[in-house]
Amino acid sequence: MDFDLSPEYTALRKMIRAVCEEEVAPVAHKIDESGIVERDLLRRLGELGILGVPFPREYGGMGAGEIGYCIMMEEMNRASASVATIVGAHIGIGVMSMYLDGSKALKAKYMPDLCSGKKVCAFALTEPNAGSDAAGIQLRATLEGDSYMLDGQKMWITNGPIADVINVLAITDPGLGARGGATVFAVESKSEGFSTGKPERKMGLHGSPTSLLNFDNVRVPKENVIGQIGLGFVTFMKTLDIGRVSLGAATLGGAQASLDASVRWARTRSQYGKQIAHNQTIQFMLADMAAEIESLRALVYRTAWLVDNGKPFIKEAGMCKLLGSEIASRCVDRAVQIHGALGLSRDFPMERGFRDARISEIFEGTNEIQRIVIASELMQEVGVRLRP
Amino acid sequence: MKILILLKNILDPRGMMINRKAGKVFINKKEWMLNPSDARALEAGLKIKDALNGDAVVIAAAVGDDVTANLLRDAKALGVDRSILIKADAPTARLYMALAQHLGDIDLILTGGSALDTGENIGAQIAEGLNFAFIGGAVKCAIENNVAHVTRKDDPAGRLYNGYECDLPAVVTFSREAPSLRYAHGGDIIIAYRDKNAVETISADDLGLTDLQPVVVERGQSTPPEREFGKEVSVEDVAKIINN
Ligand SMILES: Cc1cc2nc3c(=O)[nH]c(=O)nc-3n(C[C@H](O)[C@H](O)[C@H](O)COP(=O)(O)OP(=O)(O)OC[C@H]3O[C@@H](n4cnc5c(N)ncnc54)[C@H](O)[C@@H]3O)c2cc1C
Repeated sequence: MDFDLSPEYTALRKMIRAVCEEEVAPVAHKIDESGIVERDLLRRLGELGILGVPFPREYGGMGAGEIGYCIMMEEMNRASASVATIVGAHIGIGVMSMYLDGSKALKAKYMPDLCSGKKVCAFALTEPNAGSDAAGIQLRATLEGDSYMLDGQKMWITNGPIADVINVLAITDPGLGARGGATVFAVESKSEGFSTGKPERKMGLHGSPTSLLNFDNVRVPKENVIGQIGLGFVTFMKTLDIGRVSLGAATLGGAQASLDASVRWARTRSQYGKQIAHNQTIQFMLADMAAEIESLRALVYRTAWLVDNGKPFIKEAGMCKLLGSEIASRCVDRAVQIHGALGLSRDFPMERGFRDARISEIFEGTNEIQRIVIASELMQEVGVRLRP
Repeated sequence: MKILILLKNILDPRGMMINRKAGKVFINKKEWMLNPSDARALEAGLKIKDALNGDAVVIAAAVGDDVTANLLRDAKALGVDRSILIKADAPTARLYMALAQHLGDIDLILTGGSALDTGENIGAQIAEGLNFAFIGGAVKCAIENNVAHVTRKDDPAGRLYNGYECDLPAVVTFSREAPSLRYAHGGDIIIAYRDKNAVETISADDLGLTDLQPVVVERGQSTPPEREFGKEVSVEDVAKIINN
């Protein structure tokens, strides 16, 4: 048994941390205030392979697997949750769905540009009437000659307003519904009939644009079908399963940032003639944070290891997302407490961290849904199939 | 064009604390880093190779153990052609001179102006030993027709930059104000670390050095004596001193 990161990952973390600390963290506040992540920053990250961490080099990726990807998401979320969300939706669910089931030709066509940051990717599943119950989607794709015509709406799509390629789940056979009758399409945003709504006004993640997508008879060539006709739901669910691991890694970074800031502040701030770190109440908050973070770290990297070694990971992935989002929320809550009034100040990062952390309990499957996933895996191990 | 770049692994000072009263150095976090001015030298070497459209062989070298090998892997990931680890306990300048002779036909040796931990400056020693030209404190270095064009910031406070030239072969050392080191592509890091042959190892024997003595004998730690407080003086006191 060896719980150390191997040297290549240690070196990779060093590089990514340096990039995050020198090029992302200094603009994190500005990104939150302006709501804009400069395209140049994404291109810069792309140049270093950061937008294609888990994918093989032949498609322009970094070839660092799920472990490398988790390292990147942890470090990125430590610096800026908005940038991490853009990058996570791009790689972890966007490009990932194409990588898992796309044809060689499709991957060769899009992945090099996506991995190098020339293009941005999005993953479109949610619709106005289909959130947790993703099988309730209605966006329709009908075959016309050698193309499909897409008609309908998607909602709450991360990267929607900035994406160049959007992987969309659409119903191709209404008789069969989403399970068996849905297909994934890679849609270019420059296609005629495609438009996006205004970025949603959210509590947090102000720099990560999320919007409605309108498909008004958008023509998509047959070659842009990802995977098999009718099996799109499986592709998307598989994608989300893997995505939960890296989302857990991102929450780990957020929690770590809360702890780091709290430790610094506890030795900086003095009241009653001593550093506040000398109060046991503060120490206990720090200790609880550290203990939770360490357990999360063990879970996240073991799950990433399961993924990289081709072992079953669905139950653990659900745990990463569930525990991670709750731990991150608790940690940032304590960090705000330790910072006192400054925790509430918009000029300090805790306030932003507090707003940014909450969403992780909701997107990519709410935490209630994660519990359902974990429970159904548990029951399956004893031969019981739970129905949603 | 054959460029040799000399690198040193040092303990990251951010992980250390010096307690003068206790007369001890506490290492809270043992993390290694590339000596900052060596990082500048490495960047300069890579820039020269870029300017020659890749028509140069860049060799990175360091003296040390397996921890130091990681530093050389990082250099490999950044694009140097060869990485050589010298495993020997002897004055580094002497080892590097022997390495340069062993490799042969070295046109340019680049390294940092001084080591952050020991303050040593081996560049000038090596230039002297190999009878190479020497320019120190560079912020920029370009090669044209076998001549090194070096820019130095000679006035620390102002904007005075002076240009220097010397014929090759030469040793150029870099100031910490030179452009900082680029980042490696993550994929190149993975490859450099997974490749068992990324770093070549050379011993003192390979370099033909036999009569070597260990350079450093560790005898413990001590800190310089506490400095005494100065005396506070008033303007009147100063005026009196001047008038006398
Ligand atoms: C910032 C942001 C970014 C997003 N990015 C994307 C994206 O890139 N792509 C994409 O496709 N979607 C995206 N989404 C959508 C997100 O995945 C959904 O919001 C999420 O799946 C929940 O759906 P819902 O909002 O419709 O909530 P609902 O499904 O309406 O749920 C409401 C509440 O009911 C609970 N609930 C629902 N069903 C059950 C059940 N069976 N048992 C117990 N409790 C239940 C939920 O847990 C929740 O508490 C994003 C959302 C946000 C806020």
